[in-house]
Amino acid sequence: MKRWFALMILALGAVTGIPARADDVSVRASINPATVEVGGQAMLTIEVEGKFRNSASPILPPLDDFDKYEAGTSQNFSFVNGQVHSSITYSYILSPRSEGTFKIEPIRFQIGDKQYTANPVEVTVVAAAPGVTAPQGNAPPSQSVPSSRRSGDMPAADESIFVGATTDRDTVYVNQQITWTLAYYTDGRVELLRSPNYSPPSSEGFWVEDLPPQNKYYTTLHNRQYLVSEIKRAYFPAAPGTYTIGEARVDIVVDDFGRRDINDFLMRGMRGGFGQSRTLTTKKITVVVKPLPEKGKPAGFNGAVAGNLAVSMTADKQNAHVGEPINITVEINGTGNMRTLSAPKLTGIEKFKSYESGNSTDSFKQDYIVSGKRKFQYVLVPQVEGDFTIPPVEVAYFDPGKRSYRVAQSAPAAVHVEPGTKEDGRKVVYAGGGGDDFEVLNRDIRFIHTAPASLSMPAPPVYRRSWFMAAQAAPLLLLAGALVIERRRRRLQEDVGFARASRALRDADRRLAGADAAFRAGRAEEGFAAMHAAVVGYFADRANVPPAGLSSETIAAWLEAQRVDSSRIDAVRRVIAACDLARYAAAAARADEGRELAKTARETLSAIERGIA
Amino acid sequence: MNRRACALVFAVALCAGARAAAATDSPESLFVAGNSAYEAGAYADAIDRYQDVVSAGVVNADLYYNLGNAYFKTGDLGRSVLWYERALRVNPRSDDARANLAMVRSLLRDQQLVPAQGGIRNAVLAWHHRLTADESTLVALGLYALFTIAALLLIFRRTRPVRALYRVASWVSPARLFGLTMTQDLVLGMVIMAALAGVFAGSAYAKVHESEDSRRGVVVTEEVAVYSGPSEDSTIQFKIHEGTVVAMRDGRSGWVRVDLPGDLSGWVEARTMERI
Repeated sequence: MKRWFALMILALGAVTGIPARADDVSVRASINPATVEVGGQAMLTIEVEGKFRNSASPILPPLDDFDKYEAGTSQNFSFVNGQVHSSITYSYILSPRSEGTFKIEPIRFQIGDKQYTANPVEVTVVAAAPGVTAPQGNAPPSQSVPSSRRSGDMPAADESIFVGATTDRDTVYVNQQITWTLAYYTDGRVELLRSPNYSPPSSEGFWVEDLPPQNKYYTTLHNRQYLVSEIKRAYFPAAPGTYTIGEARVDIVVDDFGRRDINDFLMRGMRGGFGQSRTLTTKKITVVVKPLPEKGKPAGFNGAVAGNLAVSMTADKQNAHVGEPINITVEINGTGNMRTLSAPKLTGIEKFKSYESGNSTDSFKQDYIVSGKRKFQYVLVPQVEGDFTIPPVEVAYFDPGKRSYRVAQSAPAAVHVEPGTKEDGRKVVYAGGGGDDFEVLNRDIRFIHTAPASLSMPAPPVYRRSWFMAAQAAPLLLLAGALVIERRRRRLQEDVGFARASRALRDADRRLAGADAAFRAGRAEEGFAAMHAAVVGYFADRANVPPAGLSSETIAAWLEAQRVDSSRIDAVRRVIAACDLARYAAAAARADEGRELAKTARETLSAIERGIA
Repeated sequence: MNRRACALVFAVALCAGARAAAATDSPESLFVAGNSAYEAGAYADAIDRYQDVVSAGVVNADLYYNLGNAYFKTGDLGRSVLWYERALRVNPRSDDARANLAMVRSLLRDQQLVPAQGGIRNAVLAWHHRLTADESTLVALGLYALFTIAALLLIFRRTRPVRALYRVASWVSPARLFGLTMTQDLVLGMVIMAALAGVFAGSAYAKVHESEDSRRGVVVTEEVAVYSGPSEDSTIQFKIHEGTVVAMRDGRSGWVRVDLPGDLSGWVEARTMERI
């Protein structure tokens, strides 16, 4: 029992176990830098790649020795040959609070009903260099508050912690990037009991990209030095109009122990919570989105807004045969929201059958400017032979930086198409020894069948033919008959009375035939003796008694018991009496009378047999 | 005038002549005309000839196979899959149709919807896939006959002729190795025959059921939107492409419900599908 239980547990573990890498999804975690000072910053990056459509956010292990900030998500999604391929990168800023070597235990993901686990990562935290109060990284030691910061976000003179939100511009074109920044200020006078919890603003009407975080820096406000931490997002408005980027919220818990008496301390300790919760909110920011200008809009423009677009087109082969697929890749690079670019149309490909076979996007966020590489894949199947040039692919776009429309263009692609002859299909070279490789040069379907077995009209299926039901029923009838026959055969073997009764008439007939032959031969006495034996023998067999001593009266009594008609009984008596007379008075035996009597005897016995049966 | 042009003129003339005679030609001559057009590269005309034979009511695996080839040569992968599938339904042991179908499937766009080849299930059911409904029915009937014979021998096992027959036949019975009595041997034989007859009858039933309901269909247009309901106002859930085989269910005023692997289901316009 225990062994079975253990096997079941093992089986369950095998089914529900958390693989480090599945066939279709891989998860990787990394941290950079691997060594960081107390109060510094390290970027924890988790990359998920594979064939999936949706995933939940990663489940991070407890990070008690770090302050943790979400630093954005970047997602790439492609659909190639009907298969989804996604890659999502989650970024977190970790700011260590104490020295030591910390192992960040596996980070888990739920994708569909499967759970995936990233590799553990290790980070070494060293003491901050003495006397250094400036922040980490490349940021200047002190910065001023951004100039575009809204006045409502300015702190009161004695505010220790506050937040502010800014945008880099308040009037943009459709699909032009707006960089939104949340700044979190703290002067260090108040101690936080927990990491701040950030809730991003609503983004209705925008396509949003999280941007990598800026390093912390110091700034001076009201003659007081503040440490500033920033979170940035890129907003791309989808349509013209006036939009609002909503409030961002930062929930904090500050230590207020100093302002409470001991009773309050005990009560809060019993309730399991210390500190005072506060919610810091930013102001809403209004953005005006202008429509794209009508003037100068080129033909074929389909809404692309980007900067410095570059288009390239490549074919995976320059020589092909008729019917052989050629993969064409069109790559578009530039700044802006590249995901919204629609597939450019290939022109001048009338001699080809064309399919769009997929697309993918790689995003980059260098210097907080979203840029990307968008790839479109096509399959062209040449229908005829010849030399073809696929004309350049053109992408018309609006450059908001230059406030004008532009057209980016790729180079043309040349393709030479040879006929897909039968010989090409047959060029299969078999190794002739010496280790030469077998090579299949071309694939084609097998040839038509030129001689069909028959082109007659289809016969009805077997199950609809008339004999089908007979074939189903016949074995059953056969078996039923066999059972009856076998049962009778066994009774004949085991039941003597039944066996004698069964053959009584047959034996009587045989004897009467012998009697008739004797009468014909003129041996009347012998004929009557045979007839007597036939009649008496019949009743002896029917009654299952010995024939000796069976008198006419005994037979008559037995027949009466069998409710046989009295005329038949009289006939039997007459036959037996005539036989007795002929047997004992030979002179009275006449052959012609005997034949007539034998006929009567046969009819009478047959009638009695039918009546008894 | 080069040789290719001559061949084209010949094919066109051949097809024109064949078309004129089509009304009166026998299925055999139409089939031969289709083959000639195919060999001359006039695939569209070959399709017309073969379709004339189909319209005459002929059901033939070679005819369907050739139609699949001709559609493939015209680039119509959807109908190519359709006719290869039909050829395999008539003659499941046609290796040529199976090979060509595999090749066409490798060119389809919806690769994740192409039925998986190999696997334990397919290996176990290989015999089922290689028999027609009629063949399975006849095998089941044969096994039923053997069951009946075994039952008759069992009934008459006490008779002298049956005992004599068994004495001879038991030399080839594997039951002899296990020391079974005549009765045990015959009962074992009956059980085996009944089980096998049931299996083949089930196979025949499945094929007849599938054939009569025509539950499988093929996408014959380049791309088909699958809606959440039988209306263009419904949400487009996903798109499938030519050659994809689907399970067709109930239909309604120009729409048909389709099921795909992975619990995918939706409605498509009936004109975009052909039943196999």
